[in-house]
Amino acid sequence: MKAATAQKSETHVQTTAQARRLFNRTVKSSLGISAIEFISNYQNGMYEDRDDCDIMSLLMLLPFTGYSAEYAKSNKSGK
Amino acid sequence: MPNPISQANKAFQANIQYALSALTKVHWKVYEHPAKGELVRLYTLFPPLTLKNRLSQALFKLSAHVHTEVIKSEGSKKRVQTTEYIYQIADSKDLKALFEFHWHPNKLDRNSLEPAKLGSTDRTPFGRPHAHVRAHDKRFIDLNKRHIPTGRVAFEDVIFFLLDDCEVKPARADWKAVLDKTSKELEKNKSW
Repeated sequence: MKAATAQKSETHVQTTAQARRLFNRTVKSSLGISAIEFISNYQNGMYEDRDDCDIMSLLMLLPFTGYSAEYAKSNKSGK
Repeated sequence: MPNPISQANKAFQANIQYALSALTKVHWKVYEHPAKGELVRLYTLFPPLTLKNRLSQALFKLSAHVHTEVIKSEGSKKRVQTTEYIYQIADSKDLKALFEFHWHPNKLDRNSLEPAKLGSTDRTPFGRPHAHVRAHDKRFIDLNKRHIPTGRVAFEDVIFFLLDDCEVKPARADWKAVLDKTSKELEKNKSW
């Protein structure tokens, strides 16, 4: 993971681990569930028809956490 | 030879940081995409900033997420494009959102957990720029959860709203000149 290098303090670039901590904390405080549970719910379509911008703000953070590579499913596994 | 991607990011970051200096000395936190590196970035103000009035009373909490991508400009030049944003102004006491400005057009693919390839089915239900306003006045309709259409809202506009209209104390006396300058810079580079 390229971004998981030491923090470049001059540009305030954070590490992937820091992004993950932010995501974990935000999911917990917004929905009261763990990040992993949120990802699983999302992949199972639980938030598909939900008109909720809070979910959108969580999804905006997700690609920066490294969870995408860890929890990505193959496209054959039923969208 | 300087890396044009880094240069584009540096210019964008300098501008958005200068805009924020109208409000605070705090710096944006920047996250880079683990695989795409500095091509895709997220600028965040989180935990939320406490905003005070001139009597040093806490009024609001401001949080922001700005998603950017470096794209091709003229020739070998690159420039930074904002692809999504969420700005939230919340009550400082109960942390409930009062005003929110959103633009989140892209769905996250359920399998790859990365932004979906753009197509009509990959758009979010409210993919156009919009605002949420929470109002309690019974004379009006309930605005909660309504997506009030807006144009694309620059971060500078939110700061201007807070300082000019919401009695927030600026961090510097020349805040209007600062926002004027950063807005002009944004005008030169924006794609909308």
